[in-house]
This record gives sequence, structure tokens and C-alpha cells, in this order.
Amino acid sequence: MITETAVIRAAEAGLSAYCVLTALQALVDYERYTATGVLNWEVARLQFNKQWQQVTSDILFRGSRSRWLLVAHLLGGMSLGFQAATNTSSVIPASLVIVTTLLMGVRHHAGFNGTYHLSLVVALAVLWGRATQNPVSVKVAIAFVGLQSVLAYALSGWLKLGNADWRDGDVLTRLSESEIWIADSAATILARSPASKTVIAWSILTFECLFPVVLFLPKSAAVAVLLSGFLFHFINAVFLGLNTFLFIFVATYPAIYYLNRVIHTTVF
Amino acid sequence: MSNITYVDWQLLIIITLLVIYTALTVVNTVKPRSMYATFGQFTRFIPRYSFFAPDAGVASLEFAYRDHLTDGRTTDWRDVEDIRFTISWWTWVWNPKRTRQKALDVMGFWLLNHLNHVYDVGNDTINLRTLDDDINHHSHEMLVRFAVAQPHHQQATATQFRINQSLRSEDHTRTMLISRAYTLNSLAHDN
Repeated sequence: MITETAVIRAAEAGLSAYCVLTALQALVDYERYTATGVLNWEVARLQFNKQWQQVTSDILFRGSRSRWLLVAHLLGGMSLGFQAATNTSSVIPASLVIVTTLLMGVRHHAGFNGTYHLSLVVALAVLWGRATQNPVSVKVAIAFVGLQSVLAYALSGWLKLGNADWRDGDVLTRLSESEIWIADSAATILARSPASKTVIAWSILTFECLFPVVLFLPKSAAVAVLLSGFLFHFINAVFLGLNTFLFIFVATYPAIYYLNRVIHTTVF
Repeated sequence: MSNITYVDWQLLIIITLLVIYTALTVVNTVKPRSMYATFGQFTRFIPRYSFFAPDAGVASLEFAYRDHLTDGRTTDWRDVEDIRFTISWWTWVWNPKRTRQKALDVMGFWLLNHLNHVYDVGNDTINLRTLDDDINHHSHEMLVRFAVAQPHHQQATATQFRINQSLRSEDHTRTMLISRAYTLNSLAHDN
């Protein structure tokens, strides 16, 4: 049986990798925040239509403050990694990550994806897991992460299932047309075999819609599903460049496995 | 004898908050517009797990701009970004361009979506110069500001932007939108 401490440390390690990666990518590609960049502050502040929001956000983000925010996020991520490695109990790393993550959510009017929200979920759970002395509280923190992750797959899958373009595989046709989203090699593979688009689409639909079943499967089957999840995100990272999904979703898998074991020892 | 049950109120409160947060997650994923109407900007902190769902929402948009010069001429269209995603051995772990590509694509998508909703232009190119109304959507002002912020010709008095859609199956790009011309000293348009 995986321990609560191991789950919290695994979540910290995955979140650390995610935060360090996103911060470094933003710092290396900082041009996007400068005067000619797509995320320049004069553009981004237009998302706020109330004066108090504009004044407050100007104080927080104008000029080089965005860079310091990214540096703080990087340091938060690194300190989380250190904490995971040494199993020290401090609320400072997770608190720093939560604050910088919230601020980054305000700073970016566009460009983020759903991994942002999952990282917030994991950070909240890690903070509580480290702050509390109550073993029941730690279990609830882990359950929160596991259930949010399961929900992420299921909601996304059922929303897709309701769209005929997904059921027909036509979404993959549109995706393969997009030069932003998919690499030439993947587009070529999809174009060679139109039938493969339907197969791939239904594989994704089945995996996502039925993902909650992982909580109730026998141990080896649950591990197989989680390994499939890793493979799914790895393929997306390679062919669609969705690299951050690989780190943050896999960070939640120990929590899902933990829930699986708890359900099995309690119910079955 | 009475049984005194100890209630961990702190734990109970936190569990309640987490349950509410998770319920809001479900609503925000399924009914995002209703959530935004209720909570406004705060919805950005509530998870929304709609990965390419229900629609993929991929537009593959290219953004370009050109300048209007003092002598009446215009410069050539100048692309702002290389939007293509190209695989390298490291892009599965290191892909810093993804955020900026998506941001520009999304802003263009917002504007086109808004205009199609308001004016029902179908598949024709949208020429903002033919519209009398002000474009009251933040995406329009964002793209105007973005175009104005780019490097311009020394003799430029105004700038204009264009949104094209680039699809692999087509040899040429399709022009989705051409904007008005915006003076560089103010953000007013002079058509």
C-alpha cells in the first residue's frame, strides 16, 4: 500500500517539474511579454474593464515585475522539488507556488491550457498535506487531487462524446490541418489512413470517458490504465507539443492509485 | 451516559470548500458562459477541463500587419509569428513557443467568433472597414494594440492587420479578416 507521504512527495515532485518547466520556458521566451510580444502588458491589461482591476494589475505586472513573478515561480518550483527529495515539511514552497500561480493566471489573458488549473489543485493539496498534522486531513488532500484528476479526464471525454465531429473522427481531420497544433509527421500519418482517425478518436473517447473506472479496478489493471495515461500524454507531448500535460497529470497518478487501494481495502 | 462526539470543524470546513470547488469545476467545464456571467474574472481560478472539447477549437490563424505611408502607399503584409509546430527531439519536454502561438491563435479566434456571432458573415472574408459600428470586444482592442506595438516603417502613419487561416490541405492561405487602418499615434481608426 502506497503511503500518504509517498503520494504527497510524488505530487510535489511532479508539480515541481511542472513549475520549473513553465517558468523556464517563459523566462527563455520572455520576448512574448515585451512591447512587441503577444502577451505584452498593454495588450494583456485590456482583459480588465474595471478601473480598480487595471490599477491593481498595473502595480503587480507593469515593466519588469512580470519577470520577477516568473523567477519567484521558478524558485517556488525548485523549493518544492527540494522538499520532495528531502521530505521536509514546510508550507513555504507550496504557498509560494500557489501565490505565483494565481498571479500568473491574472497576468496571462491567453495562452494557458488546463494544466494551469490542475497545477493549482495539486498545489493546494500539497500545501494542506504539509500543513496539517491530522492524518485524515492528508487523506482528504490526496483524495481531492485524485478526484480532480479523474474528473478532468471524464468531463473532457463526455463533452467530446456529445460532439458528432469527435464521434466521426472529423475533429482529428481538422487537427491534422492545423500547423500550430500538430507536427507534419503526425498529420501525414493521419492523412494516410482516414479510418485511423475514427479509431484514434474512439480510443481517446473510450479512455477519457471510462477513466473513472480506474478507481475500482484490481491493482494490476489500475496500473495498466495509469501507464496508458502516461503513454497518451507522452504521444500528445511528442506530436502536439503539449509537454506540460505529461508532468502535471502524471503527478496526480500516485493519488489516483492511492484512492484505488483505499477503495479496494474498504469496499472489496 | 452521553456520547460526546468530537467534530474537527477545521477539517469539515475544508472538506466543504473542496466539495464546493469541485462542484464549481463541473459547472465551469459544462457551462462556462453561465459561470463567467456569475463570477466574471474569478472563473479563471476555477478548473475547466475541456481539452479539445466539446469542439477542438483549432483555427490555425496567422496574424500579419502592414503600414499605410505618408505618400498613400502601403507596405507588404508582414507576418508576426512563425506558427508552425515542428518536432525536434526535445519538443516533447521543451516547447516554449507553444504559449505564444496559442495566445495569438486564441485572440484571433475570439475576434472571429465575436464577429460571426454579431454579423453572421458565414465563410466570407470579414472586412472591418465595411462595418459602421465600433467593435466592442476586448479581442479587437487587444489585436489593434498588438499591431500598433510592432515595428513600423519610418513613414508609417497608420497600420492595418490581417488574419489568415493556414491549412495543410490548401496551397494558399485563406483571408478571414482585414481590419481597419489604425493611426499610430492614437488608437483611432481612419478607415
